[in-house]
Amino acid sequence: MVRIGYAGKRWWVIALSFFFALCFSVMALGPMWALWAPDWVSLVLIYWCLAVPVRVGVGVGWTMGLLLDFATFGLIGRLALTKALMAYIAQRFALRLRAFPVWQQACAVFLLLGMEALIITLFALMMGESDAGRPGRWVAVLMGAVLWPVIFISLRRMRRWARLP
Amino acid sequence: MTYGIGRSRTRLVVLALLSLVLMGLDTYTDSLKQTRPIVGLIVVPVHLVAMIPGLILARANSLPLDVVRLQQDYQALKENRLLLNSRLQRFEAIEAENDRLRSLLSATGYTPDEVLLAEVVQVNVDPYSRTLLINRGTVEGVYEGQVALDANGLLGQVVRSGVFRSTVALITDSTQAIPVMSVRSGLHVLAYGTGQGNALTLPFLEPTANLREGDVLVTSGLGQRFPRGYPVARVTRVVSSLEESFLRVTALPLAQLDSISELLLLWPAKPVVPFDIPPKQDPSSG
Repeated sequence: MVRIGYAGKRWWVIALSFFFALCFSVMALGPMWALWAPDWVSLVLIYWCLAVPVRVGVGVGWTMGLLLDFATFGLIGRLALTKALMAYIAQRFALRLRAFPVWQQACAVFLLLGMEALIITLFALMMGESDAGRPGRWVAVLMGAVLWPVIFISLRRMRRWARLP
Repeated sequence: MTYGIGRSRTRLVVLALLSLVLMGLDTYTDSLKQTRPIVGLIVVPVHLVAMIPGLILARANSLPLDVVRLQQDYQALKENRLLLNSRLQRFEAIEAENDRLRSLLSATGYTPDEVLLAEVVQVNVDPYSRTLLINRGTVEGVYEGQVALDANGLLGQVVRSGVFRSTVALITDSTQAIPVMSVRSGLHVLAYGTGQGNALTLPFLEPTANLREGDVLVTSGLGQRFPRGYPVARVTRVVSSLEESFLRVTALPLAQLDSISELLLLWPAKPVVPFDIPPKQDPSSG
């Protein structure tokens, strides 16, 4: 049962980080702070796709998106789709992105989050929602990129403690 | 690379198609309605953890630090209660009279609607819409399409009901439209949520429409979703311009949508019946 290669590695840390990302995403912060809240699940997802692309990828991204859809009582499948796409791109460029300095990674994160916001805006337009192009969505994208170094450093510390590759 | 780009690409395509199917099912059919509450139970721990900061904040705010403020609140509540009670006495007399007149007309008697108090769960649901999560679910008999009120007027309707939790879409959500009637003129209109700010919009009204600033709009019961007679909004702005063929009308919801902590769920006592066609305006009667 014990897989030699994985012995002593705390893979559950990944699940735990996703759990807290989901919690942060649905946390009510009041209108003042909610505006500045980034998409925690996306940030954590991008980190693990870059760090352990063998383990975390499209499937995990899709599952997390689906859970977020259920947790936020949103349209089922919408965030699952965007998160799966995001995970695919992050996984695809994992090796290249990992070699980048953190601020360049933040630029890539900005593009990934921007892509997701764009897709969701398109969906909202297709659904005929009148506030499809509201600016709050793009503030979250910018905040995600700005907070990337913090996420990166804290999750890297967690990854090393968990002795993940 | 060892993790196989080709494999994850097929996986992406399959999962993307699956998401599209799910979105289609969720939008156009009711087939996900049964699964949603059950799968929703998985995310209950997430909601529980996410509630903690809100609870701590609420506890901190409710600590009786300020005795003077408490006394002021108490005084205000007492006065308010007196005021409401005195008004209620009048209403009771009117209600009795109304019942008697109705029985004379051999119309069906008035039966009060049933209500249930629900608390808003302090978690941030769907960031893409104006919805609230409440602490009542199908266990209490909450159903989709159920009407939610606050003390001042219509708040919205239940859009999704889980076992213990439900979501309420506010009337200002961009997906909402309410059939309303102007109390003053009896004009029937649709009030749409704008999704932006605290405002409703009343589109497609001809420049001759009998609507003024300050008009109170109540639910008309048309569409048979919202029971008739509940106050919805007050018209704040009527702009007519020569370039546009319709009036531009904005209304402010009467319910306090920006600070909701409790709301009332309504079980109408009888099927929702619309108001009768409004009588012709008779200038001599006013």
